[in-house]
Amino acid sequence: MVSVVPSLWGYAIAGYVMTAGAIGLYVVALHARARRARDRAAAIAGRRRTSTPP
Amino acid sequence: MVSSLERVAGRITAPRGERILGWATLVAMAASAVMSLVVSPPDAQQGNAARLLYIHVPSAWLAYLSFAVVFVASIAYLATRRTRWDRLAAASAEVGVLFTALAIALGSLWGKPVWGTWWTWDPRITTTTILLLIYVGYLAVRRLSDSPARRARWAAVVGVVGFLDVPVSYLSVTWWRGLHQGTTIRLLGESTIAPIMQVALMTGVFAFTLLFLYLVTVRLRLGRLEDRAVAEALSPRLGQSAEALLEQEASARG
Amino acid sequence: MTLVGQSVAIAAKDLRIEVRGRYALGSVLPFAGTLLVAFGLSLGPGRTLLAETAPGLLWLAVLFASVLSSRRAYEHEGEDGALEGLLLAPIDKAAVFIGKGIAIAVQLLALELAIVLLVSGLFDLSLAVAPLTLVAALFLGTIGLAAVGSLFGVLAEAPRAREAVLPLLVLPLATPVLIAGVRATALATAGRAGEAGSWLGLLLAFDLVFVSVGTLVFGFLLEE
Repeated sequence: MVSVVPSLWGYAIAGYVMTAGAIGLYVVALHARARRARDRAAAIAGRRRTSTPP
Repeated sequence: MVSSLERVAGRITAPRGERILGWATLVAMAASAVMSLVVSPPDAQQGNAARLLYIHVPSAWLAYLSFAVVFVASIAYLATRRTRWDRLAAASAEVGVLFTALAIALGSLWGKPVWGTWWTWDPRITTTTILLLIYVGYLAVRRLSDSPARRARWAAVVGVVGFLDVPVSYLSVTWWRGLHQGTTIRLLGESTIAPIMQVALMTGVFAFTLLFLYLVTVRLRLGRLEDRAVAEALSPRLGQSAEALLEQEASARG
Repeated sequence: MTLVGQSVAIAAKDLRIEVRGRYALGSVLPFAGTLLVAFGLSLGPGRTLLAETAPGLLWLAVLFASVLSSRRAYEHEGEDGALEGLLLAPIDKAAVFIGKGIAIAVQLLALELAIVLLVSGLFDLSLAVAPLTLVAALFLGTIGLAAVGSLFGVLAEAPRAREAVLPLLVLPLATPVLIAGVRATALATAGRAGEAGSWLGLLLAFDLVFVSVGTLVFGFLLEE
């Protein structure tokens, strides 16, 4: 994709794609981690409530 | 003053605040992309490669902003011992490492057509690289300890010391490049920048700052959820959340 | 006991352990020697290149030796609950930082004597041109490295600690010492010691920052 034409668009596009990719991946990963953590907290809490006390 | 600050922060990080902030960030980023890729003209010498300015400079700004936030949050944690400051430091450090790496990668990409090389030991690049390594170390320290309180204290010390190391590093690297060789390499002369480019750059800085706030907000929520999972698991009595127990204990003690 | 007295007591304890266990002498010094020979093998045998890179190789060996010594300074505290004993002792936490820093610095200075002689022999580094500048650079650099090592060495004793964490933390933080030390050494051995003043000043500034900040924040690392 990086082409050394005088307009040098290739470098600009590569940079913007890289930036968008990095930020996008991080946002998606953050939300996935948050969802997993919430599910885990809920699962632990649920297990504790349903099990009988010793 | 701290408590009013915390109240404002609490409002932003509420679920609704997070969603509004997310949309605002998206709009600002789109506006910045249009300004940078369409409205702004290509540079006379560097062609369209100069458009990297509008994401490289905001990334570098976020790198230094986030580590400054880590520094302040670390001091606040050591002074108040409130977990929220530790979560803020952790969130800001993670986002900071991302944007420091991005700033270095974009600078390298820009350097190739302009300087003819991917890498040069320019003081600012070198200092930013040292900064990246210090905060990668910070994140490694955060994974060291099992105890949340100890993890927070250790991380806070590294957050303070690491930030104080930056000016000394910058000075040493600047001298190392050559005290007598004149100024550092500039990608664009600050004085020659056209007004429309300045507007595009300001839009980029604004959009990235919103993005920083949004990412830290989401990362803070993640930290709270992780802490809640741990608290639930450690909750001593069945059928009661850890927070309720803590409150009971506090009121019993008076 | 005053802070100075407490610090000296801790430094004396650590140095006594070193004298009896001979870790620096038995392990760190051979390691530094091996490292220098490896540098020679990877860059040699051309004498000019080796002579040019000698100051850098010297300081890399010192830097790695400092990481090993600081790791060692807290290793024996992890055994038999010694660290808990130190925490319970009626002494200032800062005294632990200063005392361990002194012990690390003394060991490093002894190691550096051997390393400098080795580098001079292996890579043709001329020591006699400006010995005072050389000694000043090594002394000031050692204080900074000892302060960083004494501050963060304790992290290597964490239950989940990995071997790489201490160098990962120390090497980037010590960049100013590496750069300034190498420059000052290069100038001193090239007969341009007069220009080394600003580098020595930088080393001094690094020392002041890390010794003072370390004294202030070290207690937070040890608290339980």
